Amino acid sequence: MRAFTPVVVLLLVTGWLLAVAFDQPLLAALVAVLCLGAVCADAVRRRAPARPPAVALTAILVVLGGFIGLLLLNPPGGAGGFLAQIAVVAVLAPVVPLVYALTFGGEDRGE
Amino acid sequence: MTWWLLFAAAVLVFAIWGWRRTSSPQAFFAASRSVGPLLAGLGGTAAGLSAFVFVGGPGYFAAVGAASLWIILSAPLTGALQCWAVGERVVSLVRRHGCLTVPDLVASRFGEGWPRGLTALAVAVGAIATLAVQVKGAAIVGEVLLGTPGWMVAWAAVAATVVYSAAGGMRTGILAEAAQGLVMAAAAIALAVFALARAGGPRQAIATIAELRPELLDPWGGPGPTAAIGLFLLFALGTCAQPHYLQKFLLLRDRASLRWLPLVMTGALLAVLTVWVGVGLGGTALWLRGDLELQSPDQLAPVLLASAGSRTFVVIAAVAVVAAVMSTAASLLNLVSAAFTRDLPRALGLSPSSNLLAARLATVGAGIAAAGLALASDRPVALLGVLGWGTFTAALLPVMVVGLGWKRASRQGAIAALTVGPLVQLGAEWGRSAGALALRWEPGLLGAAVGALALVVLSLGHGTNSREEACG
Repeated sequence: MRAFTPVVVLLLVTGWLLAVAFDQPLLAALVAVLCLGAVCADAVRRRAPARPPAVALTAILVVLGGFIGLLLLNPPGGAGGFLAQIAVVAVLAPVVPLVYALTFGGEDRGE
Repeated sequence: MTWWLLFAAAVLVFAIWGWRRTSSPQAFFAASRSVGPLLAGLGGTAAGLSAFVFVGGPGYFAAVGAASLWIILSAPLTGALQCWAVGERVVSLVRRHGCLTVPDLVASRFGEGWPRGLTALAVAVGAIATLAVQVKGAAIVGEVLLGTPGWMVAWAAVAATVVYSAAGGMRTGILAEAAQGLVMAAAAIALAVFALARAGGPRQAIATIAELRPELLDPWGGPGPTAAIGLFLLFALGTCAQPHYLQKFLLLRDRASLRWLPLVMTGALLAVLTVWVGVGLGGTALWLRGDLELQSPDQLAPVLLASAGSRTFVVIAAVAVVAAVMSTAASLLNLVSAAFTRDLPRALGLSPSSNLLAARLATVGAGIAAAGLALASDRPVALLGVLGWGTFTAALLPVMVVGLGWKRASRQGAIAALTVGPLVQLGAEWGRSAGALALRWEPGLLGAAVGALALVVLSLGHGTNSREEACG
């Protein structure tokens, strides 16, 4: 089953336009994270086996979404927000490219 | 003077080397598809970063603080994201059709004529705007750091890049970019350490900003969280639509090269981005304490360097920054050259010449046009950079991500997306600058969103009529 279908595209675009039009940052964050997942989903689906990269991608998106959500719902004062930004980069920077490399298939399963 | 002569001689030798090894369009536009992950990763990162990061980035931090970091928060994701979302498909299309350019990719999926022509036009316009950023960055660095007229340094940087790009195309371009990427990474780390040390260390710098301008440490900043998330998404998804990034997938020697590409790209990207955080944080603290005097935020990095006191250090840093400015230019010059000599003629039904003279002359013309635009424009470096990035995103993101990935995407849908996206983006840019549109509406993202809607709706209406053709 394809993750990036016309319905998904229409929902994401509509969600984004509504989030910006009505200045809804939580909806914007949700759409942003889902967008990133959607554009990667087809490549992940073509991996054999597809489950490990799918789980890893989901975990990455949960960390990212959780970070943005926490900053939105509980904005830290002083330097807390800035330090949280640096921390999330430090955590994700080695993990994401390694996940890609470790789940890479020499040949994919085709379109 | 001796250094300038040595630099000119090195450029000349490199150009002659490239000229002798570049005799076909495949060598000129795709480096004979001989590039591995290390060269592509370093070169791709250097091409994507330059004046915007070294001059615009720290300056943007001084202007809006931690809110500017939403642009670079996508850095851990972008290498893998590009490979997942577009890289694997591009490599597959190259293998099936022998595509040499980004418009080739679009034409292989949606046919000749309008899809190829509109893609080439978007690439040419966005590339010249982005090239102008490099020229403007070189001018600022020359004026503030080297104490020479800005236009002189800008013309020297453009001329050097044009010489080796016109001679060897991407064969010399990718080598120069990779070397410049290494120089950028080393210089960025050194500059970040220097700036933070001068500010008394990271803790002291943060404490200074927290005391004098605490709002600069607010991760959401003035325009608010929706705008910040928009900036994050623009720079995350936007990497899938930048032709100078996509071009690197066209140079890869095989599919296996993709495996370690994100790791190289992310490592190089983060090393270079230390300049944004380090110089931004340390320089802003020094500026707020009154240790630096700036006429505009764009001057933060050059003024900080000029205040170092050591002439040798200043010259080394200036050479590194000018090299960084030049690194993006080679890819962009090549893209403009391909658009004007290969893709636009093919879109009009003409046969592109296999002789490289036209491509070399177009490279020279693109350099002159970009230098003229930069020196005549009053827009700050960061804004010019966002304009170029936004144009590429608005025009190419729908066709590259949705269009290449969805089998029912139609030719009419692709043409609509390629037309509507940049028009909406340019309209939104005008609307924001005129105060008619709230800052949270990111023009590039808005253009891409409307373009994606047009692509899907028209494709559903017309059914499947896209086709695959050989790129040749």
